[in-house]
Amino acid sequence: MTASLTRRQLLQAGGLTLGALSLGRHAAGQAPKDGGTFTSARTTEATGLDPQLVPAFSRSARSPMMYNQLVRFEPDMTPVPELAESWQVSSDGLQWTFKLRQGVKFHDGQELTSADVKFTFDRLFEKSPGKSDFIAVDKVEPSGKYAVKFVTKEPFAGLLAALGGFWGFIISEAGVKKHGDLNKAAVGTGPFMLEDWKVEQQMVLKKHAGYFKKGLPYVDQVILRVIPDEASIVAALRTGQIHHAFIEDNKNNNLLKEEKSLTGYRSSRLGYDFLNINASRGPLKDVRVRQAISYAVDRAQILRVAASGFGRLTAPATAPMKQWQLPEEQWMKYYRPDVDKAKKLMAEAGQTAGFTVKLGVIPTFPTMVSGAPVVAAQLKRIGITAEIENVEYAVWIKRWLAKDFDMTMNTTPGYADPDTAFFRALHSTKGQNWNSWSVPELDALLEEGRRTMDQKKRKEIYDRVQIMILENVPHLWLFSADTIDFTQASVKGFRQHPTTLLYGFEGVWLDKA
Amino acid sequence: MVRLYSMALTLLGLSLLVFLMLRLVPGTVVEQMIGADAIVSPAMVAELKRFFGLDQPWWRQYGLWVAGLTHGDLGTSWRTGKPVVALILERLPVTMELTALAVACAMVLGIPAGILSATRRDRAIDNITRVGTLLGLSIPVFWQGTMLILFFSIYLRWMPPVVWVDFFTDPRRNLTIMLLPALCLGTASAANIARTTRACMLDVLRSEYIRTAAAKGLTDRVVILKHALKNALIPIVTVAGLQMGILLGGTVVVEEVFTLPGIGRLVLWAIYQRDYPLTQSTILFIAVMFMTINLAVDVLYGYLDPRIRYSA
Amino acid sequence: MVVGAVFALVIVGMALFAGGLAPHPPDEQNFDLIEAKPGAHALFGTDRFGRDVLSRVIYGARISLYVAVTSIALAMLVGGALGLTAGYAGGLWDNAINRVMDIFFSIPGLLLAVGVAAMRGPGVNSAVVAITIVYTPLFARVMRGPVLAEREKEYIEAVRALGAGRLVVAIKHLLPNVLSPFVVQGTVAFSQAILIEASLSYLGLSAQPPTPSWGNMLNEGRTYLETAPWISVFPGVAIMTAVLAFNLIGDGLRDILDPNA
Repeated sequence: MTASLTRRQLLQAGGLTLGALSLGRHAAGQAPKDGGTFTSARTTEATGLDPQLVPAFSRSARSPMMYNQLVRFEPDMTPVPELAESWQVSSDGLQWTFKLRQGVKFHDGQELTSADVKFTFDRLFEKSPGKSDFIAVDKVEPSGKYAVKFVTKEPFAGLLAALGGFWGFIISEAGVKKHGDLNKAAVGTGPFMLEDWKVEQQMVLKKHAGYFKKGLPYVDQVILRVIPDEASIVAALRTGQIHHAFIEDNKNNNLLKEEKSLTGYRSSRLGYDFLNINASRGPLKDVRVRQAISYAVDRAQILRVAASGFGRLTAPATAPMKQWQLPEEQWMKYYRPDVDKAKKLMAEAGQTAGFTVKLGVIPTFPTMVSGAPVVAAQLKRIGITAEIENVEYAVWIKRWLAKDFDMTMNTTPGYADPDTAFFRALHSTKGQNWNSWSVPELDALLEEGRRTMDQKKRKEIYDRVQIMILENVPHLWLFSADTIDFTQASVKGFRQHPTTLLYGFEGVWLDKA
Repeated sequence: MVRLYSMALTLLGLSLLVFLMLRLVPGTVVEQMIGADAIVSPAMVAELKRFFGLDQPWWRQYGLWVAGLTHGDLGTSWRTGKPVVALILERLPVTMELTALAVACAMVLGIPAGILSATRRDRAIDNITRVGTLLGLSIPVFWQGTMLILFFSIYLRWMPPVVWVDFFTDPRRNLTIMLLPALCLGTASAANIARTTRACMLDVLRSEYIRTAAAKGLTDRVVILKHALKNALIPIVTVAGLQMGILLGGTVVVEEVFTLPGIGRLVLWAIYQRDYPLTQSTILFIAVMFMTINLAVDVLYGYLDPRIRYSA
Repeated sequence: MVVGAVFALVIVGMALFAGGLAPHPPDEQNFDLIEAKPGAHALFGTDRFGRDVLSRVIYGARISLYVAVTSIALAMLVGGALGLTAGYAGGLWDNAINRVMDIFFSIPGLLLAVGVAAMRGPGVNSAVVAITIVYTPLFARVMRGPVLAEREKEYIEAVRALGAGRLVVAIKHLLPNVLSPFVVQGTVAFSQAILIEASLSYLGLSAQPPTPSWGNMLNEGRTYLETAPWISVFPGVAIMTAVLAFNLIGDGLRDILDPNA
């Protein structure tokens, strides 16, 4: 069946199941019940908990349990009030005023005021790698006890996305004074308080009784276990030893979806897997070679092997970024594998004989490990020999930061706003420039997008950005795997977020039948 | 006394070796902490390096660590911020329990098999045991583990609990978790012990006094259990003791396969995380443990068999 | 022993003639045949890339044997030389070597191997280095003991009295007389080396995918235990057969060369 299934069908099939599953989710409008201990498991431990010092995703994922942001993004990626009740932008677009919710309590019982917000951002700008998200922000000033003003150097359309992003969690000044840093302690306003943490084993969190969302959270306690082997997590779900797990290797969906005692959740993810190309290396400099690579790679096949088909091919703006999506017919044509065309492009670039590159893989990332051999086999067809090179995480990071690679498999949790998503990755001088490339026209467009506050104009700009990306192939958006979660059937009210950050635990309740 | 002195010297050498090897590993804790998804300035990297003392010359770093050790301070783990001692003590019971249970498994399986094999020499049971021990010596621990899990989960629809519980919280649950790992870990040792038992029993059974005992009209069972086994016990105990040391090393693989929170996995994790203090001190701790076990075996051996005096 | 030798020959043959024996190249992917059951088209089934498991098991023999042969050869060479000189020269040199060897003996063997490989970073050569480090001290010790005993014997003194150089005495006269326990130990260590390499591969520290090795095939197959158990069954059988074969040879050699042991 596989050979005859087109990409389009694959996408549709994905869409259908998605709809079907989300129907079952809010079934039987029972009233939530309080109490109980909710146990979840993950394969990776957080390297530290400080929401400003630790860039690792394992930290970001856990932060929403203990902290809140000023604004939060709904699953459809629209911003909604969280700690901020409302906000206004000045007419010149240079000042944002956020009105804070009153009576919000930190875990230590102190009230959240504008001073904490200012402290949060002062500390962020001073010592956090996350300051790059806020690069256009000049300063943050209190304006009364319950309002803060963000002053920006230029109109900054990405501010809300940054506030609702990985680095926007509001911390307590008193908490930092007390603990030094917040790597092992947590003092936030969030639904759960950190009670005990045994590294590489489990984290115990207690209900925050003074949480500002009335009635939440429902459960008394959350235990987050670290079980490094997903096979064991699957077993634990089946035997009812844990309530919830986020599945990283999508093939395990096949093992669990038939289990009667479990509820499955499948939704599209903001992040995506990509083939990261270093466009400053040898033949990869030539845009025609990169285009050839793009045409040689059969993304649907990679999706099938690396994510067992549970996912979708994606334009540069992924599915949850609904308002920024390009119509499918505009991007799908770039993804149609065409070996002849690819060979022609190689010939035009003077690479008829082909060449050899190294293709990096982090051995502990399942989608990279299984995706790389497929990419290599596909590139072989146009004469490119990709030697797979397994690089341990710490070394990989070091080399990636130093841009010391030809090509590497890569994955990103994604960003809600096109500014954060594309500027950071692709701007040749002011961003992180993941691909060591430079397209001045694109740089200009990205800067324009950052300054433009008008939604319609922004949309036009980012449509053009995306087409430019598809034409110039900085890296290959391979696929966006679906987010798959399973809970025991007794668990209600769970919702996964497209960023896979753990926002969903505050609404969880246990229906002990 | 001489033993203790040479142990100390060995530990000093080991500490230097581990220390230097770790510094040769590419990548440091700093890269490990940063992660891919960040813009990091060189100043920040330098700051972090200073924080961990990585900007100091190596001999100073080494000196500080060893100075701490002599005061009984194993240091603080970089990635967890906890004292290394606390982390070791948290994990130690798991590894000890696993090792002890594996030795127990090995003896319970190995000794009777060896006796049976020796007393029914060259008969069917002997041949079965001998083939069995050879297989036991050849089977990779991790594969055996995987196959056992496969067998239990698919054919018997039974799964040991995957969430760790320590012995004192819930002994029954703890033992169900430990059963398969201990069995896997103990298999090769069981084979070794069975072989030793068989050889020793054969030796003893051939000897003068056993024949006398048999001649006196004592039953087979009494002869075997009371006289023969007692005399064969010395080498068996020695082998079991030696196995204990070997098993201690084997725990690292078993802990990985069954994801048990023991010391072996702690070391591996620490190496991957480039957590130098944790790696160094834990390895040293394991060495002390290992040498102590070996020393104890020697002492026990000398005690059981006064004819042997340890010399070295 | 005969059985062992036959098995061993089969495995060595697999490694040497992998190209001719394997029905497919080890990394050939076939997307029409993903996770196929063992059958006519693929005797041992296929894995998640549609690669032929039989072919990968055959090619996997190369890694196992390569690592075992190089590491044990190196360890025997270095360890033997150290043990011979230590035992023969005695004194300070002997003492120094013993001290250093004690350091390596202070850590359980498998843990030492895993630690060394983890520190060196994953790769086939890491496995070689790790296993060499584990076995060098062992061979040094196995060599030193008999040399020590032999040195005092009359014939050695006689040769020395005749004016033979130290080196000549050591290599020409001592070595042949102490070689048999050393060789027996070598075959036993060889089978253990196969086992350790498999463990290292399994932990992701030796040969890296997509290069097939028995250990990493097992690791890859582990997550497919329920849906495609053949991916992990066959490499496991291969490891066991190989280790068993060399164990049998070791036992046989011991009976022949070293009847007192």
